[in-house]
Amino acid sequence: MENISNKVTISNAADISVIVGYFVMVLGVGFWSMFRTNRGTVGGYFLAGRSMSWWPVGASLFASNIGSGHFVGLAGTGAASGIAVGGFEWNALFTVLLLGWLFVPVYLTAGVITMPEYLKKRFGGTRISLYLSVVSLLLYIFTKISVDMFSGAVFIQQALGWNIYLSVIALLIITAVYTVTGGLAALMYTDTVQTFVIIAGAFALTGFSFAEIGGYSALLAKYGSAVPHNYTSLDPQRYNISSQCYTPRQDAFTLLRNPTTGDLPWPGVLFGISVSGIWYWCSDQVIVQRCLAARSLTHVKAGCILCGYLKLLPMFLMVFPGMISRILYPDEVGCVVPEDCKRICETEVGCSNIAYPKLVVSVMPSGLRGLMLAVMLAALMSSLASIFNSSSTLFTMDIWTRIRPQAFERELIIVGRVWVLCIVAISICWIPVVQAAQSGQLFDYIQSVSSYLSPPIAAIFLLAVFVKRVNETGAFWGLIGGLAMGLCRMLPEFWFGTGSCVFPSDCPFLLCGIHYLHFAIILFLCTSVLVLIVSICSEPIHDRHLYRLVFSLRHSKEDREDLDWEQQEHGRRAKETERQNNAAAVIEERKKSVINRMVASLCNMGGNSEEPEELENQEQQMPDISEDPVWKYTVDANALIMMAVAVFMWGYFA
Amino acid sequence: MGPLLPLVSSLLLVVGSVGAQTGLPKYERLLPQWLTGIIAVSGFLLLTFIAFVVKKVWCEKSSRRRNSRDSETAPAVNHYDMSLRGVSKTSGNVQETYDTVLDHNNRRKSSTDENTYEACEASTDERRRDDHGEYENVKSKGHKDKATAM
Repeated sequence: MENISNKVTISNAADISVIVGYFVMVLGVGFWSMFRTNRGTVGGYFLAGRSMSWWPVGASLFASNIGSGHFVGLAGTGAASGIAVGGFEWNALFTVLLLGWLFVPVYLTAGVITMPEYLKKRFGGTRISLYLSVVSLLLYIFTKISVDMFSGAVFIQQALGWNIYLSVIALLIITAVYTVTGGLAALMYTDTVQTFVIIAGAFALTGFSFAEIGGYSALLAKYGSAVPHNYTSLDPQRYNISSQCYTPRQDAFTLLRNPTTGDLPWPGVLFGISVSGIWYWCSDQVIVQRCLAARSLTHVKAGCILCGYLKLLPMFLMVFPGMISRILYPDEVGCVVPEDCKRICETEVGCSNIAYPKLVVSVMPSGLRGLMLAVMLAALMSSLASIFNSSSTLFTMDIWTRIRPQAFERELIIVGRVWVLCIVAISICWIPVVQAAQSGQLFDYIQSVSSYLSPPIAAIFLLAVFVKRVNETGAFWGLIGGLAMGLCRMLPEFWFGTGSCVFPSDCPFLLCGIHYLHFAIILFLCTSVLVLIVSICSEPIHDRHLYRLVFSLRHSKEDREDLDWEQQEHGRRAKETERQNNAAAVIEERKKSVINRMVASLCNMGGNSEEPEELENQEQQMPDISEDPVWKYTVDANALIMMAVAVFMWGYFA
Repeated sequence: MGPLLPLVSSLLLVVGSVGAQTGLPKYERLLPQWLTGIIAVSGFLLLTFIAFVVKKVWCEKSSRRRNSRDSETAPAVNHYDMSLRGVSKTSGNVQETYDTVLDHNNRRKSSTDENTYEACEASTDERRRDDHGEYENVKSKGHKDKATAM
């Protein structure tokens, strides 16, 4: 295999010391943060005690979002089709401000920990929150976890030649160690470290890559002629290769492309990505949980601005190096003949995914390869850890409390930790599936699956927060209708296959003809209309159930009659009976063995007796969303500046 | 004719390969990139300024409307309170009816005003707190008088 000669074993002292130093730093920060917050309570474990300041919030938002899938996917799609894929990142600049200014104030005053809990309070009933929990967990496993692990696997295979299973299992175990013990606080502090590592390493690689080709103007000049030497079909009976399959696109350096012939049409880029973005940034547990852990609303907003500025970087740190990689290695990264591609990267569709690992191997001097490995590990571990923690929050607070309403805090925290281990096991079992389904355009795959499944959820959340008239029946039938419509598009496309330029898919135009970003917009609008129509035809929800649950009532101080009070009552009564049953067993627990005590201190499970007052106290300390006026104006002005910078970047590259 | 044929064919080959390399015409930009950036930013700042002005005008209008309504309701409450103090009732009853009057006013205010309220409350939060303060002052004065009457 041609790529054997390009594999480098990390064997020199500099590389090894960098990697070891990185792991020591991450684990050290993880353990240090364990002593800073009380992890024995639900609020402490899942929400870091609501005490984080703006810089861990911002860094954690960025590191949770940027995974190894971004490195491999953004660079690969950039190599294949130019800078438009950076629009996904730059769209988030505005969506993250929506999160901080419009959505988080409502989530904070509502006093919720998970998003399904918010929907339960807002609409009442249990079917909507159950739907959201299940769909979120499935989306995590099939899009985020599998893609990040696949990208990590591609990098490890291409650049290092290590055994896939051993390396991924080792990574997952290290991640699980500090996720399980430390909770959200450990994650957010380690994410700050990971952010520095990611940006430092990626900057180094970008610098070396630009030096290799001779600067930005050389990139502009040479990209258009980066064609491979082999482009004639080896089997003309089976297929022919047209020139557009291997020639770089003419509009490679524009963000906004032709709406009908472009691969990322501009209405889709401007609005379709926003729809998926509203789901990802404003209503998904992973991201919102980090904002809920902040000390105050001003800290949330400042953290969102920091995350926005950091999201300017991936275009320069990942997309441009991907294009440079194609210029330097047109025969490997830009291969088009299926037999060639199979030889180079074991997949016939195309080898654009190896763009970033190839650069790391060839352009970085030997001391810094260890740094790049640390960067990839940082991206992989930070994203995976965040997903593990949030999925365990979802499972514990929404699904487990439904199965066992009498569960006390201690049991919830233990269940949360056990679920992380379960999901690690599921992820390991998912590796062979992901390897078998290797497809050429990784980033496209995530984005298209999100575009088919997330617009109904985004519509529900947007309407739930801003339109009081929307009620439970409307929301539920809107979700079901949206799911049906999304599946109508997703299943045929998976059945027929996405195809490639050389072997186009034979999916009929009616089913697969509309671009997935346009489909996201259509699905969003249809779901919203359906929700509004069904809501107007049924009973409204009275204001007294909606105080502090909608944007217009976020400052109201009246008492709210929770729509899920029945479930809360049921849970309280179940806990009372459990406590009475366990009164005798408390005496037994006094005699604990040494090992039990050690494990307990590691997991900070202090206190044998549960005080019900503690739980009530936490619920009564409603997060306060008032802001100091001086800081409010500072933060608003900063947001305006950031939006101006974002608009300038869009205008420059449009 | 002999040497001409290879010459012509090689010329055609060269032209053909050049043509193949350039292919479709390069993407032409009408304005330099930095200029489109600047135009986009100025457009954005203009829109923000317009939105800011509109919000200011709208909030002033709504606060003027609310002030006029407050001056309508406040005397009604005071009048009710004084008439109650004249008639000696048990404190519990007075409290209840007083509370329902307050509640009624609050609900009426929130249902009609909330659309404008949420957009403007940043500037008028203090005013709202002052409104409550007024009610509370009236309430406590009422209690004190009741105590001395008894």
